[in-house]
Formats: sequence, C-alpha cells, structure tokens
Amino acid sequence: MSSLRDYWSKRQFRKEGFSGGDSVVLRSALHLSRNLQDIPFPERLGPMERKEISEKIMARMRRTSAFRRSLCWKLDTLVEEERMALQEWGHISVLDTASYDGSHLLLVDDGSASVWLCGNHHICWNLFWEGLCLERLWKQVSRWESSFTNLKYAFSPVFGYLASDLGEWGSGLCISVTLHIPAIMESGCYDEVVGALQPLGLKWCSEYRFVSLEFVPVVKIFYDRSSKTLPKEALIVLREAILLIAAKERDVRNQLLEKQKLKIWDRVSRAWGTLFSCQLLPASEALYCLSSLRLGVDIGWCPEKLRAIIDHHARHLLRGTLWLWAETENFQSEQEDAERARYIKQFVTVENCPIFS
Amino acid sequence: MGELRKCHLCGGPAQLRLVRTGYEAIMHMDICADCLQPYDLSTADDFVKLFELSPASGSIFTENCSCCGMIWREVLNVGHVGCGRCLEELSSLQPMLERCRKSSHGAGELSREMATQSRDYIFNLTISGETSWDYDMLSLLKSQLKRAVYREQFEAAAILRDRIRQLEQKNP
Repeated sequence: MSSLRDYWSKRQFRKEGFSGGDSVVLRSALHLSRNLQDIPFPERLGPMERKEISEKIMARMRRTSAFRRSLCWKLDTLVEEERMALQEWGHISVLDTASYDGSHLLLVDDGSASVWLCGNHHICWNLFWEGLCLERLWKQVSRWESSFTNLKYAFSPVFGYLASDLGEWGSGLCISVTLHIPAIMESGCYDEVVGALQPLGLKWCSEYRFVSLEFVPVVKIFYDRSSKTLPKEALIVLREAILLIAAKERDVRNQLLEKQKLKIWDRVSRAWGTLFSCQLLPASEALYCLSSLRLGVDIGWCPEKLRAIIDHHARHLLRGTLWLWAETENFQSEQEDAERARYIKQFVTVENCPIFS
Repeated sequence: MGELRKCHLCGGPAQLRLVRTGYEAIMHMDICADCLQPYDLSTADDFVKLFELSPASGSIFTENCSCCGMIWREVLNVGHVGCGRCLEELSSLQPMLERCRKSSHGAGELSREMATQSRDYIFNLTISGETSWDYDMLSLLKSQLKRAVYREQFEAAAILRDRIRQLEQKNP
C-alpha cells in the first residue's frame, strides 16, 4: 500500500489543468449510502466486525471495472492530516477517531470516486466531477449499486433505505453542486436567490465552512439524505435550479461590469498582487484571492488557462492537502501559511498577470 | 356506552387511564384504585415502575431484536436503530415511526404519473440568458406546488403558494 502522499503527488500530475470550464458551476458531487440487511449497522459493530465487513465490500467493489485500478487505505492507520486531506476532497466525513476503526477507503486512481464504510452506513459511494453532470453521476452509482446482486439492502417500503440514524432514512442520496457566485454576493441579491431555493427543499452552505460566504463566494447547493425528495426528482429540480442561478449570476455580472468596472478591476488586480508577492498566506485570504482571480478570468482580464489552474489548486490550499505537498512533518500555523504562499507562487506567475481592457 | 376497561394489573374494573408519551409513542395503561394505591404518581420513578409492571407495556419494553440485540427502550433513548431487522422485530416501532414521518414517500422509483410530470416539466422549462429569473423561478415553483399537493405535503405547498404569490405581485 503506497502512502497517501505518494498517491497525491501522482494524481496531481495526472489531473493538472483539468477543469469543467464553466464560469459559475465548479463541480457536482453525489454520495449514495446503503446498509446491508441482516447485519447490524456500523455503529453497533466492533472494530473487528467492521473490518471484516469493510474488507468484503472493498473486495467486491474491486471487481467492478471502475475500481479495478484503485487504492485502499485503512482509515485508522492514517495520521490526522491525511484524514483531513480526505475530508477536504469530500471522500470521508468528519467522525470521531474511534468511528474510523476497521474502516477502509477505496479510492480510484484519478480521485473522482471512492467507497468506504462510514459511521452510519455499510457502503457509502462518493462521486465527483467538474461541471454540472448529475445524471451521469447517478447512472454510474446506480450501476455500482446494482452490482451487489446477491446482497439485500436494509429497506422498508414505507421508509425507504434504512440507517441507524432515523433522520437519514429515505433515498440514501445526497447530491450537491458547487457554484462560484461573486456577482450575486457583491450585488446583495443573495437573499432573493436562497429565498427561492427554500420552497424547493434545497439547502445551501459555504463550500469552505471556516470562512463566510461574503468573503469567499463559493456556495454548495444540495439535497441531503434527510430530504424526502425522490432521487430522480431531486436530480431534475437541482439541475434546473442550478441553471437558473447560473443564468442569474451571469446577468448580474454583466450589470456589475457596467456599473462598477473599476471596483472589480481593483479587486482582481489586488488579488493577483497579493498572491504574486505574499510570504505568509492564510487559507481564507488565499481562497478570497483565488475567487477574485477567477472572476478576472471570467471577465476576460486574466488568461483562460488560469481557470483550470485555480479550479484544480483551490482545494489543495487547505491544511490537510497542503501537508501532503509540504516536505515537512512539523506543520505549525506560521509554517502552514509560509508553505501555502510557496505553493501558490508555482502558478501565479507574470504570464498570468491581469490585463485591463 | 363505552367499553368497560379492565385493570392491567388485577383484571378488575379500571377507574383510571394513565398515558405515557415519548418520541411520539403514546402508551396507555388502565388501572383500578386499589392497584394504584401503593404508588406515588408525583414521582417519575413510580410512574415508570408502574408501566413496567403492566403486561401490555412490559412486552414493548422487553422486546429485543434478534439480529443486533437492540431493545425498544434503547431506540427511544438513543433515537437510533441497530439494524434493518429492528423494524420487523420491534413490533411497536413501525407504527410509532409512521406517525412521526406521516409520509410513505422518500425512496424508490417515481410513480408513473410523477415521472410524466417531471418529463413535461423539463421539456416546458426553457433556460436561456434572455429569460427573466422571476419568470423561470415562477414556473419551477408552480411545478413544485403541483407535486406537493399531489403528495399531500400541505405545509410545503403553503410555503410554495406564498412564494408564488410574492413573485406574481412583484411582476404582475
């Protein structure tokens, strides 16, 4: 088993420069959870039992074509920063350390899919892709789900798929789309947008929980497992709502450009200046600057190739992933900020300087 | 004339009905004055003891799941179930949860009617930079309102109706 650090550096090379290319929609994510009938839920299992079930599920998943070239990690053997990195990529959720005992994570080579035994479910599939492609993710995960032909899922015709937490009974599906909406936040019409989402049963939160949406306007809009919406209906409604928000964002951007062109130019060029010359860079400031720079790309002030770089690297600036990149084990606060500044200077170069038009 | 109630402890005529509620589960116990006398119902402990003595409620408390060993009381205390079998094995759990959820939706495939609605909805809704946000949102909300009414989710329907009214007033 290779280390997560090795895996990350190889994946880094493979996925470099890949982006959905959309100015508003960043990525789609789908998490599908199932429990097996006649086996106690993970919460009721000891570490050894959990390990046994987890190994069986992983062995079976490895027979599918998508997971044939995948890597497996025992979550209880990873150090805290490695687990943090997996959380930042969306593959595992935040649990107390004991809940990872005996759990495995199977991660495909390009990092776009994984499966693991989590605290609430025997099987939890995660799928990610750049851009808006919910139907495609759903088709893929449905194939995996149906590949477990001789196993019965814990299912009730009345309540749907069962989990230990009663609040998670239902479709077992959580779908989300991450959007970059600087103009909506800047123009103050954010309340109108989220007000319209509420009756549809959609939820939203900041993609980066440690920083406010006003500062880094990257929002995740989602249906979670507790929503009573049927899977197909959820996919349709979420997709339509995202298209509407994207159209709204583009409208507002055009209006803002007419009214406040200099203000936006100032924001973009300051962001570039900060990233180009910083020595210590906190995560929140880094994300703010990248968001501003991405707005510059969308407007046409920065080169188009910068969009793919920003989309690819934004997540890598968070603590866990940065630790994988840094060669040091000692990762105190100042050291972290210094490493982040060093990391970002690899791609914020003079050729990417914004040009005002 | 109502049915004559029997005391759950001695089988004689009951004069009192005790009701215990928790997590939406409502259990009752009929009891006569003689059987009640030794207990001081001002304390919760006596009240619980009395219910555990009753054969009717006692069967609920001692039931356990043969797969995971979860008992009814644990489900009530923790708010979690132990396995997929708990629903079948703990007989009183399903009716209690059905009352909580009040909905049979949430999983599986769309019904034929709803699938048709969804398809119509996709074909009818046009997304382009020129269409107004309010107009598109209005059609999305109206479609959702129809579905909420179809699924008898009246609270959600009321929110949707108010939102539609707001938008219609804004753009008559």
